[in-house]
Amino acid sequence: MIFKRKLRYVLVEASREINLSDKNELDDLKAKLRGTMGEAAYFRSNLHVAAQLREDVFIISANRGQEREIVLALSFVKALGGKKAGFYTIKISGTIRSLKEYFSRTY
Amino acid sequence: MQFYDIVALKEEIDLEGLAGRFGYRKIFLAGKDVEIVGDTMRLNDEGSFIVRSGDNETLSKAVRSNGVVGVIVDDSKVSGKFIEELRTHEKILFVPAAPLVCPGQNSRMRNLHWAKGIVRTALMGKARIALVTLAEEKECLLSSRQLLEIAKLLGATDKIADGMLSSLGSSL
Repeated sequence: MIFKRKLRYVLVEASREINLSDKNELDDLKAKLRGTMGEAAYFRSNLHVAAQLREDVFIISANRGQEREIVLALSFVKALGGKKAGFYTIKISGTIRSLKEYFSRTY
Repeated sequence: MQFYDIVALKEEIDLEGLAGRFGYRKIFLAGKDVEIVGDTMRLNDEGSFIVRSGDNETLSKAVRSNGVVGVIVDDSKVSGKFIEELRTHEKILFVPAAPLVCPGQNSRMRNLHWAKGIVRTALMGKARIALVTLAEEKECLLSSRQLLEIAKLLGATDKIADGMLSSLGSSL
């Protein structure tokens, strides 16, 4: 039997413009999430930034079942790169396409 | 299920647009839709009031007042007797989530322990609880999905967490 990894995608809005293609900002976000989730939960979640749709909107992918941990962890992240920032989870879906469609409809 | 939130933002933000994106039916603004007061002196005025205090006597007095929707217990424990009073007068115990995510002077763990204790006492006494952000800065805002997870972190089941976010609808 072949194990198929299932992912969940989380649409996240930030309170200000952020640039996740900048390695420093991305590393800082991952470090903050690792700090709030704990190392074991962080590595279990297999968290990645799947896409940045706008300066303040991006999609995070995570292993199925771990998305709730990420929603909670994002609530506790209040700064990025030394500046204030809040992160709001807007929607969770099984496909990145549906989140992109939701984004184009809502924003 | 329709969710509601109360914020106390200092800057102007389009709350309707925010409510739509964040999964709320409505986001109430403290100072406009509801007044948060520290004592019971102004309670004879018309309007909806939430009394925020750490003093048990003030809170008990507030619970018996007509214009009061509910109370916020400031950094102190609540007794079973007070919870019973809340339930009898059908008032809501508001639990602000902003101090949990934007802890300020106190540590986050301390605030989480306090909130967990107060939610547990209220759930045991079957009082109505409303988990609201009461955010003063936009960084402290939370979407309904995040607020639900925080409710579960504080010891609520899925069904109770839903109730904690929707209990405002019938009161404001």
